[in-house]
Parts: sequence; C-alpha cells; structure tokens
Amino acid sequence: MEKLIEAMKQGKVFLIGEFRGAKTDVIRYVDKKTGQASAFTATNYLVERPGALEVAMISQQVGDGTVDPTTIKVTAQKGKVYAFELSGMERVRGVFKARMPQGAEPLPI
Amino acid sequence: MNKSKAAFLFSAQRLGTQGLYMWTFTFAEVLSIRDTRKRWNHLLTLLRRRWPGLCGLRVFELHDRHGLHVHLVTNRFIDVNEARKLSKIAGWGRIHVMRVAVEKAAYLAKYLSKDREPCLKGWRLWAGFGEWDWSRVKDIIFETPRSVIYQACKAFYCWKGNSDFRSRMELVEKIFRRVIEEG
Repeated sequence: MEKLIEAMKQGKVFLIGEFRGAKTDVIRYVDKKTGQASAFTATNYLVERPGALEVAMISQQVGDGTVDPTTIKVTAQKGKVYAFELSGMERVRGVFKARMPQGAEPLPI
Repeated sequence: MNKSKAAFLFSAQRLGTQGLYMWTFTFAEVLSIRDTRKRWNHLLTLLRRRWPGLCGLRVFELHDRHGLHVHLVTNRFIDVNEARKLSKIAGWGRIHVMRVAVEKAAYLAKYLSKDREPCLKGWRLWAGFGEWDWSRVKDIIFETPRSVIYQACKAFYCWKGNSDFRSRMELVEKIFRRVIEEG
C-alpha cells in the first residue's frame, strides 16, 4: 500500500480493480509486398471494476522484441484486487482499454 | 501498435539505410487545419519541383497549443536555406531539421498512436511522397489473439462482407475475454 501511495504522489495514474485473468501473446505484423516483419510480445490483463467501468482490458508490452510467452509469469491472483499503473487509456466500442508501462506490475491492495 | 503505425515503421526502415533527415515545419500563428493542409500541399509541390528526386514520409501532428505541425523524413540532403526560401513562399514559419538514425524515425510513429482528433477524420495522418514504393496499410497483415478469433469465427459462421462488423467485433471481444479469464 505504501508503494502505491508513493507512486501516486509521483503523479502516476492507477486503475484499481479485481484481477480476472491475463494472457501473454506474440503479435506479428508482416508486409505482404516486401516481406518485412515485426513482432512483439504483450500481456493482456482483464480487470473488473463493477459499477464504474465494468470491464477494463489492460495491455502491457513485454521486453524489447519477441519474448517467449510461456516464460512470462503473471504473479497476480484471480479474484484479488490490485492497482494497475496506466500510461494511456481509451474507450473503444464501449470497452475500456488501457496500457500499462513496460516493467510495471500490479500492486496488491 | 496498429496497422498504420506498422506500415509507417516498415516504410521508414526502407527509406534510408545510411541515415535520414527529419524536418519539422511549423507556423508562427495557429492556422485552421484546412489552411495548413493547403499550405503544406503548396510547399510539397515547391520542394518536389526544386528537388525532383525527393522522396520521404510526412506525418501530421496536431499540437496541443500550436496547431498542426508537419514532420518530414527524407533520405537525402536538402539545403536548408533554400528550403526556408521555398517555405516562406508557401507561407510557412519555422523550419527545423536534424539528422537522425533510421531507428529514430520511429519517434514520429508516436504521433500515430495519439487519438485521432475529430477534425482529422478522413485524413491520412502519414503518407509517402516521391518516386518510391512505401508500405501501405492494405499490405500489412497482422496476427493478434483477436484476429485469430475473428478468423475462426469467420470460418465457423461463414461471415461474408463487412456488414454487421460492430456486432462481430463485440462477439470477438467477448470470446477474447473468456479466453483470458478461463486460460
């Protein structure tokens, strides 16, 4: 909790909600004309915030370039409440989507 | 990252291998978006007349306080004094140029991540110019968890065309959430 208050004093923005699950995937882009390709690994956190946002989808890029998703361990436990640091947010087709900075971890409340 | 940003990054990688020049064109006063675009078209015409082989990428950035900026990435040296003269003719204000490494051109891609302002609806936030083949958004194929789910649903439900796209995306989003929740 002290960690969270300290971070909030520094001006960081957090979303507090119930952690429902997370999944890490590799996202790939290919230019079919030139064959150029790019890939990165991202973890998607599903967070519930009943009454306020209902469901929020928070994505976080993992490492630089591609990282094997099986090596990524998410320490958060399903059903517990955490504070998720946000670096950006938007509402797309009614779904609240946000980004978590690289390296940040959900802080238990 | 979206498809547009990926196409921009691929284009920037191909534009120059030795290094690039990054230009920023601004105005002293804030102009309307339409006027800025007109002046940009005028300036680009002048630049391309003066340097016929000029090619590169341009990015529009709507600044919080200073209106629309135009950023340009080119792969060849242009005399800044001559460019200043041409920009004055086209009614532009300040010009700033710096040499950047190819990887740094990705910096401009950050403007493509910003939310699109309503006044820029229907605009190309970035575009290539000159005689070269830059990456187009239509050429980018991407594989994300959502696109995999979409393709599976498309095959299962025999979706055709783009009708009902929103409800399709809602279904994809619901399935994606369930996949995350249930592992």
